[in-house]
Amino acid sequence: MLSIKNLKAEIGGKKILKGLSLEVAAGEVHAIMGPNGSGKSSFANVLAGHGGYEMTGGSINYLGKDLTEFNVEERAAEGLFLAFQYPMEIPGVSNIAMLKTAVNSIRKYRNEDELTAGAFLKVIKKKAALVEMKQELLKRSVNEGFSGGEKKRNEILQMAVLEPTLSVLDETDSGLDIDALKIVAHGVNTLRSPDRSMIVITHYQRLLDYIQPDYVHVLADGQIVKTGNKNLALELEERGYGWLEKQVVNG
Amino acid sequence: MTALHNFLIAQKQANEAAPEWLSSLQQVAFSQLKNRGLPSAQDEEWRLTRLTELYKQEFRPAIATNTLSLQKTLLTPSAGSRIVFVNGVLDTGLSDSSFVAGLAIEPLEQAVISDKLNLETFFNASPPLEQHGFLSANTAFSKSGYVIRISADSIIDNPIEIIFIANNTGPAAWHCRNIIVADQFSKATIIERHVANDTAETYLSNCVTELHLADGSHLDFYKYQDESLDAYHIGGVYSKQSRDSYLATNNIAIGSKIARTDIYATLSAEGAHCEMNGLSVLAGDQHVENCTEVIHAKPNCTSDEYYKSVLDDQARSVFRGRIIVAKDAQKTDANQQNKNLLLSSRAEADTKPQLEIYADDVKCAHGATVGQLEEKSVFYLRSRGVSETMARALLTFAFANDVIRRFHLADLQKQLSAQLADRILGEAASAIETDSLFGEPL
Repeated sequence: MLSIKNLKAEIGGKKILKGLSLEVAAGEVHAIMGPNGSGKSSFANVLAGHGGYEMTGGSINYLGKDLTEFNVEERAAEGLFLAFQYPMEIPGVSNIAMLKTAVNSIRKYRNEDELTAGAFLKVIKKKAALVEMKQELLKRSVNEGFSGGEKKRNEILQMAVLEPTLSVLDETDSGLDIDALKIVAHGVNTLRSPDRSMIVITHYQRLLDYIQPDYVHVLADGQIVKTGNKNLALELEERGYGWLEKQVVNG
Repeated sequence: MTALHNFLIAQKQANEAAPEWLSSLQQVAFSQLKNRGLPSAQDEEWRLTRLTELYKQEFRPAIATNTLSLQKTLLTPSAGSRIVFVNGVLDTGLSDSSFVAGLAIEPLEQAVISDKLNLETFFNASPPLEQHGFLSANTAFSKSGYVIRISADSIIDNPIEIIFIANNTGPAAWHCRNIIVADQFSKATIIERHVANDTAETYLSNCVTELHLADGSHLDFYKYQDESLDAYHIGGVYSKQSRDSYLATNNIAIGSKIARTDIYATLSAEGAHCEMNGLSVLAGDQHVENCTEVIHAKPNCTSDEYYKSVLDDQARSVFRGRIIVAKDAQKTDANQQNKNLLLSSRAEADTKPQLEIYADDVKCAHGATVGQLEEKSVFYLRSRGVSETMARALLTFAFANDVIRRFHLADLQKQLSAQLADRILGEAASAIETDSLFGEPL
């Protein structure tokens, strides 16, 4: 589904990704862990097409297409979704209006008819229940006055509504208490299917107890330095990242 | 002497029907206007709004016109009382002020004669003592306008609408003076609309509204200014609030070539609260200056001011926000925010917060921003599949709608949001229409 080869990217002349390679097959969940500043969030942003990053090398192939040919909104319409680490607040536009705009924008791109109010409502009802989102939060402005947990649940709601093929979750677990974490993980797990893949970026092993990954990668200094199964996450929890960084330095 | 000043001075005529108190008041105002003239660019309070073009205009007095050609849309459907002025003259045919218990509405010219409302006490009692030329002109020449009194303990459910329509004006000028008196523990909503029929000529609407709020009264006041793009609108909303009264002045400006509106609030007894919301959405070479002043004269009063502007092309907005906290106005809680969104590199926003605090135990917060759309938010929306154009339009709408949603009148809020969506989102406005979704429980 996703094949990244030797990806290099920089922001404002600063090299961030220094030859990252990653293969994600359909139905797989990949966790990416790594110390602060290793390029995890940058990687997520580059995938989503953030204009601030310049891709200076390598390739990103997504479903047989060159992902870099698409702009941000086209990538979304092609089935890519990024759950933000810090979701934006948009006072003045309701959550539901934003969702409706997003759904219909994507349907238009795919030459599908816009959803009728009734059909849209049905979808929303179901998905909101999935992340235990109250109706009141749908009517409120996007993320405005939401708690940290509500914002993250809102990201998963958007993901559930847009039904992406490839989801990138950028530290969706940060700032969540255990109850919110369970709700978020439940939402994510419900969306797992053989034709959907996920990249879960996280700092903590804890999330991976709830969202079981097929692979765990360690990103350090803009490269993937180690790949393993979920036991690698446990090992990292115990030993930290220092030993891996040393390995990189020592060649 | 400018052409406009000469024209105004020539307007003086004896108003024989006026009671003596009014004649003498008008005489004083006339002398002030004559001696001091109209504000000039040298005037610190006026230097950011250039009126040179206005001053050169040759005006003539306003006349009532045939209203048959009037666009129906100018008269919004209304369940409550409605008073309509065309070119500054009361139009009884279009007005509808059937009897509502607790509510007295009278045209100014009648009210000064009948004096059922004891106008002498209120007339000119809320504006500042030091008055600029336009305010003097308004006092000196105000023959028409409306007077509303909401009697004690009365709650008027339906909003009262006052509509000022400019219709085939010619180069005319008019000066309406409106007075609203909310007696003790009364409650009402008043909407003042300033709109134009198909008229492409320069006119000047110099309109002053006074709000007098007695103890415990509650007034939700809207001023909606959508004048012709060739028009000048000089306006004032001056309020005086008594103990525990509540006032919201909501000031929406989307029309006119140049508009300057002064919104002054005096909190003259304890426990009064004043809310000021303002929104200007401008394009082309439109220019709007809002000059606000909140005077905390007594302790334990609160004020909350929220003004925004959206500026496209070479439009310009000026915001002045003065908060004065008097020496004994302890425990004042005053908040002022002014935010300006520039959609074009040629647009300009000036913002001048001005706090004068003479008490020592107060809370005063203020903030002012001038900027563009946040790129992070644009990226956020685009990452959800929304096109860049739509994302920007949606964020612009959100920025403006943020003010509208502070309004208390749900129907008006809905109407203004829809109008705003049409203006900013165009054909895409339907995309964010979600009313139909909430028709049934989720």
